[in-house]
Amino acid sequence: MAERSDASERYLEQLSSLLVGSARERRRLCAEIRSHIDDALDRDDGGSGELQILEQLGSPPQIAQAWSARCHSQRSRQRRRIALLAAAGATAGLLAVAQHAQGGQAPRDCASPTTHHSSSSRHHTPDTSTCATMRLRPAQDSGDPS
Amino acid sequence: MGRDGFSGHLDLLLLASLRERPMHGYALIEHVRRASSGHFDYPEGTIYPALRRLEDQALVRSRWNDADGRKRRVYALTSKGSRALEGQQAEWKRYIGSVQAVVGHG
Repeated sequence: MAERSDASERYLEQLSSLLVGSARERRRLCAEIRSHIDDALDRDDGGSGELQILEQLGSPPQIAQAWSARCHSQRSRQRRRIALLAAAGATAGLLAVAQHAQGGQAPRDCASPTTHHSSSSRHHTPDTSTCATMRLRPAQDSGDPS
Repeated sequence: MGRDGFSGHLDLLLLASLRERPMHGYALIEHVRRASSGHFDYPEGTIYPALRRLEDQALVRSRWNDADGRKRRVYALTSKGSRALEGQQAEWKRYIGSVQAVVGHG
């Protein structure tokens, strides 16, 4: 396994100093570049040398620029996602206000179906709506073989 | 092909290469170089930010792999990446078809 020289270490140090983003992400990129250099040194059959390997990688500012572009597009995506969530929240809030303004009531409570009143009668009647039928059946109807 | 020509189709080249099999960065670069007969000239280190961008978009996923006593980040195409690749391939075919229609009659 070929050994990296000071040239590679200096290259990696310069790259690390130019990168933006979190320390974890910068470390990951530098680890990948370091692994790339090691692989290239191992395959260096033609003996082109470490300096040529570093040259083929591109200069640290070139890589840092590509990295910055990636970070920028990631931030843009995050901002769009936040804006979308804010718009969805605002829409939900507006709908709730509109429903309230129209005299709408909160959705019926499944746990108390007998509170429903029809306009023609004040008698309590069993609610056969979906909510009511979703209540648990007594144990003997559950089909439980035990 | 020069740098601009390469970078304009970088995503397509990376996704198409990863369709073959999961690869780490160095193997991916070797694959592109071999498949293009050394046609593409680009700073190899810029592939890694590009791969990371594709990962941000969930088009590829990656994990560290220990082999031969060396840690390498291996990238694989996701199902979303496969769909994106199909779309980009179709777009590319339309593009070269249009260019060919003009250039071929020159």
